[in-house]
Amino acid sequence: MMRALGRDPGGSPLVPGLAPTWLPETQLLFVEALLRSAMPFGAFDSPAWRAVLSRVSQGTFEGPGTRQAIGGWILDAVAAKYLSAAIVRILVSPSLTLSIDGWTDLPGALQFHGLPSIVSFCFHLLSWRGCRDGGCIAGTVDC
Amino acid sequence: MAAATADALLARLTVEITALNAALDGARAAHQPPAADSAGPDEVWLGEAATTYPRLRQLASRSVWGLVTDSPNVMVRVRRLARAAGLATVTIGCADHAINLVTRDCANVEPFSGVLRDGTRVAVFMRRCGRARTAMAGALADLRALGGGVADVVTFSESRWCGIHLTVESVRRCLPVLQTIIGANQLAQDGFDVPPAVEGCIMDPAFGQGLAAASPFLGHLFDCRRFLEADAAPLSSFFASFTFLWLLLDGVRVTGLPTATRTYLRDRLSARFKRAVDCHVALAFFLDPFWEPLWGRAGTVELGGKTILQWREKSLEELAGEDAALRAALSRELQSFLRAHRPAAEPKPDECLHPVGYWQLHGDAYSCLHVIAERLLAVCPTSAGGERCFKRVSAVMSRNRSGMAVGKATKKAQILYNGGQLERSDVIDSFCRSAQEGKMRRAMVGGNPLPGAAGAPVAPELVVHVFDAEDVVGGDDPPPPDLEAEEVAGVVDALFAVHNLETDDEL
Repeated sequence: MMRALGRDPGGSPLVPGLAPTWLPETQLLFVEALLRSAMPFGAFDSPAWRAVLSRVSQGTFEGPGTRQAIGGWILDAVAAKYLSAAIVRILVSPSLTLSIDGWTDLPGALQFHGLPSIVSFCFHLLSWRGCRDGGCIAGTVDC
Repeated sequence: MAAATADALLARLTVEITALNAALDGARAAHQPPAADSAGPDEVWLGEAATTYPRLRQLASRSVWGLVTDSPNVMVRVRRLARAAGLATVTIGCADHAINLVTRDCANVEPFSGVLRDGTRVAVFMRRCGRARTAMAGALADLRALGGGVADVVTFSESRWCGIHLTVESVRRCLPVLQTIIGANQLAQDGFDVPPAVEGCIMDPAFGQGLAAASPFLGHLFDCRRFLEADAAPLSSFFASFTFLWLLLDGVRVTGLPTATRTYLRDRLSARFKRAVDCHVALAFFLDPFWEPLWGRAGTVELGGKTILQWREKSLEELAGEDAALRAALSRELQSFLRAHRPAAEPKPDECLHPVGYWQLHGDAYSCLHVIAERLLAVCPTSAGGERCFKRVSAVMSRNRSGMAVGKATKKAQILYNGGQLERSDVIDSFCRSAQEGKMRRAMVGGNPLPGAAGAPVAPELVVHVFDAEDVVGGDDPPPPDLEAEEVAGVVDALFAVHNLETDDEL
């Protein structure tokens, strides 16, 4: 449903007057806002939303993409962007405090634990990985 | 089981910290500005003193200075192992949890035990009985219309014992209204059922006196917890809060508390402190000029089996290691720093900055301490920041979306709070001392602490404090069904169940 790369097969911008990067950038920005609001991947993946967005953008933008795309390569791109910015901030901080947390379910079985954050002056870097079977889980810093 | 889990966690932590250190060292080396001819890279990055004392350079080069955990036994073990392995310089338990547990200990002694139980019973009934809640709301609205409004009664979350202060204080403030409602209900033909235990304590004059006796110390505990939980709370707040509470209990500084109660609470304070503390916390306390009025009084304070001076000496010895020259230099500079700061009625403006900011401004006069102070004071005294971070996961892994793959949930959560943090200003720069800290400081400048020194005025602030109330946590959830008399008793009994004092696992 998306004209994902903003160009037609011949390489020309789909919308005259708009840069070829306009559409993918808008798509990324939209997904970024969606993810920052903890909304479901498929929040705008419906004909009604596509119609609304198309109307308000006068046909230039139909939405951020399918839920598969948002939960796939676009999620990776946005997460990488934020992680890079986070690491840059960490590198200029003189000291760090590690703070560990986790959670258990009602019977007390371990669900998650790990290293959710690195607090560096004004900064929290989420960097943990978990699994649901109570196996070994721990955080990692992808520097 | 706990030992195996702790060992596994520590092993993973070691790998992560080693990787983190290596990555940071590599990145810093790559981004290091070209050094001047007269100064080596270490001197530029770590300061002149670090080149003089190899031990200081070793300390300053550590990327991980603090490890803060909560209180379950497995995490206490991880902390001890991590410290023994030299993974982090300061390994502490969460001061917030410790204060919370001291509040829970209060429930074991009079006058707190009866008052907390009865106050909670009244609050639970008034919040959970529909007709009582309606009558209360009407009475409070009438009072507000007359300009004499007080906040409604609040209940507290089971895991946040400090919140019981709000319950006690709200019941105390609302007691005349409650007595009016119960009195009118007794006369009404179609009155609602009130459990005899609730009715009895509301109409009992001794109940009000008990609330008044218990409230001030609970207020101090509550306020200590408030500033400990603040963003970028410096490590010095850890010792300052425990010292302040100990001094309150030492002698007849808290009115209405029997000697036996004060002795018991001092012991519990000391035990909770010992379980969470690291000796470097004491040094941090003496490196924060805001707390200078407490320095002189702290000499008598004995927490965790040692006096504060013994904790401080231990910290200096550990930091200096086998370098006697560094040890002497640290002692000399510390004495000089303490002499330069005499207790004053009001702190100087720069003393109200975050202590890291203060040391950045004035640290050049103390070249060795400067290196340590900037790093030590930046460590958080609580795990509140980490827990606030982790709460973001619940937005991603909600009840309705529990099937999401862990990898995707991880990335979503990373975006949520990395994004949030990147938008924030520097919390060190924007840090300011709370009103509670200011009152505590003033209380310690003069003779005895002022009445309610650390206690916020209740009526106007209760509205602000309502975030701790049980009903607000529930958000848009429908109100819970009315409770029967035995159910009210059940809720209260569950809250005040006898706990093993040495086990914090439930928190």
